[in-house]
Amino acid sequence: MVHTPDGARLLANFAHHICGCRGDWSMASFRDSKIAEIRAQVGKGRVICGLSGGVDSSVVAVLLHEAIGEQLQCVFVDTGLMRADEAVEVTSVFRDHYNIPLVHVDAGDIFLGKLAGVSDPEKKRKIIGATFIDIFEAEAKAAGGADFLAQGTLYPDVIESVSFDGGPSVTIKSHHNVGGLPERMNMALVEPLRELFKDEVRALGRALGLPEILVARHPFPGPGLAIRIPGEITAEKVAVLQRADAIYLEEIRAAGLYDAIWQAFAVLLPVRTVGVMGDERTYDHVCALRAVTATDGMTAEAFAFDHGFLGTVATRIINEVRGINRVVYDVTSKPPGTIEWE
Amino acid sequence: MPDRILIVDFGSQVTQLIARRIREAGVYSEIVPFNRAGEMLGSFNPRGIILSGGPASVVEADTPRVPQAVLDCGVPVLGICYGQQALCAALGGTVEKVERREFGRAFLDIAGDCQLFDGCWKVGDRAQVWMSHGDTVTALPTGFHVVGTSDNAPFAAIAD
Repeated sequence: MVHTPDGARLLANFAHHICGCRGDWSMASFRDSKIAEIRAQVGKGRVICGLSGGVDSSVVAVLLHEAIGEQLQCVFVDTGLMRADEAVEVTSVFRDHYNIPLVHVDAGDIFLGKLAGVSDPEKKRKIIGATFIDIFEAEAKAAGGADFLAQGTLYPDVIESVSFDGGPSVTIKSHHNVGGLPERMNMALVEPLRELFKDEVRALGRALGLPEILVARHPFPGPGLAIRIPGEITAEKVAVLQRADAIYLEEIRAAGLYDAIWQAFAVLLPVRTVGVMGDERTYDHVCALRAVTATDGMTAEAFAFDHGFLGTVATRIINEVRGINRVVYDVTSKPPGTIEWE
Repeated sequence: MPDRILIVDFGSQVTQLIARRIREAGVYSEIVPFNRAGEMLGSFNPRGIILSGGPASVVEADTPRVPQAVLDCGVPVLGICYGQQALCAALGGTVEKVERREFGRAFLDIAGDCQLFDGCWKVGDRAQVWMSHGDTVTALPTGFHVVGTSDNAPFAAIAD
């Protein structure tokens, strides 16, 4: 485990010294064999790929494009649960950088409608998964049919969602694009990254020539801000959270801390507490801030900001975002917690 | 074909981390649930096998056991936590539930040389490790010797 400091060395000794293995497996060799696998799986078929702007789906898209070129169609589903300005960023990166055809589907109203009144985190993930697939099928039909759906499912998604092939691993929570998929699916799945951990995906991205700013981007979950608003989701709450999250990340980048952190985000709590602003009593939402260090997302520790930093962020958020009058910081490690709140 | 290590999963939440570390060492690795390890061994042809941890107890009756194919395969086998205990039980050692469990940070006193410790631990060192167990090995299988002990596990690290 990460916390036995010499653990990696012991395992390397087993592989190299005791078993006599060479150490020549790398992302470059993975990429070559994976491209061959994709071509074998897809044949002459058409693949539709969901693009979120995150490093996973970007690597999937570029990998697929290298493997099957024109047989690929990318679709960016704007769920209305993304961060401020994210939709614009995603479309501009893939239209300016790459020659990959991209369809932008503005589906915010649909997702929010289906999530109305839903509080249970598992239900949220399953609804988002199902709605996502519905929209994909519609897009695939509109684009003239597709045989395969590509997704950026990773190893941590698999272990956290599926009782490993019937083995005894315990289910933690379903992921929108694995356990959350409904039974009826009219396309076969292509998940070229499902054996990889997050930092292996980044290494693969670099091996594929993706720009560093995309490769080094923090992970962002498929269900987006839906799992950062415990309780019911409304358009108003999403807007409030987008503003708070934008301020938090702006301050993190300005302090030069972005790359030292694995993932950082704001959470909008359904808890309301009392505050005082301009001699008036306020009664508003609490915003929780989360930042963790991790090497692969399976274990993580809360990032130790100095208190000056958190105070600055809290002040900005409370002043600038209507609807929040208190900011707290989540100090829970993973395990026993998870990085995300839902 | 690249050299590969097979990791036999007994259900630990962190089995994937073992795969991760092996790959970081430049060696391809895959994970198979214990109950399918036998059928995978022939085609996968690993140069070594690692038995993972897991939530069960070897002391109880209907819990996972090391597949015979693993015991017969002829390549080095590393057993970690439940993997160690299951291997011991299969090879004639004894595993028992203990009063004093170890969860979290613990210290391993290195008692013997082992290729596993190359370049990091030597006899007399006190290494920081991470433990999570309520059972422990209490008697060695034939041919094994102790290479590391902890406060509550006299047979924490063993080798043959």
